[in-house]
Amino acid sequence: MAGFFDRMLGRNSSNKGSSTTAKDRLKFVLLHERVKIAPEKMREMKAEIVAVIAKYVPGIDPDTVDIAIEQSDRYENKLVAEIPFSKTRAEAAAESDSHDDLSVSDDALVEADSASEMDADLKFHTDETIPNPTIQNSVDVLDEAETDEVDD
Amino acid sequence: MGAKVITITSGKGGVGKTTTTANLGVALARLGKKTVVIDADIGLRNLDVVMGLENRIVYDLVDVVEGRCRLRQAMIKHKQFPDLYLIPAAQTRDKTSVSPADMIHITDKLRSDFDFIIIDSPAGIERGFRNAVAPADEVLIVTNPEVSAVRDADRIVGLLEAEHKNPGKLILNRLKPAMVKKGEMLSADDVVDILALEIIGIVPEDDHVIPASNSGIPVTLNENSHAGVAFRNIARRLTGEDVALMDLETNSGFFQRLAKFFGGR
Repeated sequence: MAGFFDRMLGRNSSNKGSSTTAKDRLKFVLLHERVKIAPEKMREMKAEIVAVIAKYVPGIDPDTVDIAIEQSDRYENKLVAEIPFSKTRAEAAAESDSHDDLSVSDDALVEADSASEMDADLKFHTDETIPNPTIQNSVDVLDEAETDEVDD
Repeated sequence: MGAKVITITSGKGGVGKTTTTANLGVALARLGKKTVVIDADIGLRNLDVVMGLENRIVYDLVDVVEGRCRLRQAMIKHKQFPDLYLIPAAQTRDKTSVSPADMIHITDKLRSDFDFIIIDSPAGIERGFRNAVAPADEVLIVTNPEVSAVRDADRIVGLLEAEHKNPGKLILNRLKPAMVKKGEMLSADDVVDILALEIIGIVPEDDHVIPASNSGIPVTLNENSHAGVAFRNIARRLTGEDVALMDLETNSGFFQRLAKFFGGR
């Protein structure tokens, strides 16, 4: 009976068909061709950007980072990056402690991760108004710079 | 100011550039417009056969460029439509025999005597394409509802931009409404959405097209052909007339489906 109504309303009751795939594939390939950045180059760039940000901002999970080309029309393109803070430094530290503790099962770890991610999103917004974590981060960066010099 | 120069191009081969050029030439002449069509596909002459003028060629485009004949001597007058002329491509030469400047020079000499100059571009994006596009006031990009043709059309848009040309308008050729309805072919809306171009015509796939080429009588002269009507509509739009896009799914309305359903088909 659903098929009957679909037919009467001109709906296609079967799967979407290959034209949707064609459209998605074309949009993707043309987007990259228009800005002359191959998808593979985008992946490399994303990895580098993530690496740089991770150097300054603790708790960035590369899998949650989304960097993409956004096109409103043919001549207006922008790179849009969404980089969620998945954990605060304190949580990351606490977690690396718990990693050492082998009694925690894999399943439990996954759950803990997703839970702390939700917390971190909220915390990120509130933390911004508190100067302390910023100071903490810049001290870390200085430390790293010093070690680099020693290495050289 | 005189003639408008319109170049028909596509990037990909086999999408229907020559068929489109022949049909727009004939359709414009039928509308009383003085029209000359130029085959810019040097070495692969074809517009002449599609128009049924292959037996009347004496001189060609390269002969004009190299000064072996006057421009008028290379222009073949169509017997049925005295307002329509063809300048054929050379058969034995290659694209480097003509330069973009030559094309501009030739069309400039024709402008004052004609309403429309239509140039059939070769496939590809090299010299032949640049020759064909150089004198264009307007570029019509022919594509098919198919990934490779649409992708090439987008390349053409990019190249037109690089040549500081207007973005071009789209002719979507060989659309199969039944396949679109099944979701197995890109629709006109899909293609317009992907390419972000103005569309000037949708030409349905039509079994009348090949017999028309076979006999050298462009399909737009066949009153029973949907493709023929579509080409006529494009010609009218080129003259500035406001013609609505063809409804290719005339039997897709609710009541038609209802009738079909109870009609037991």
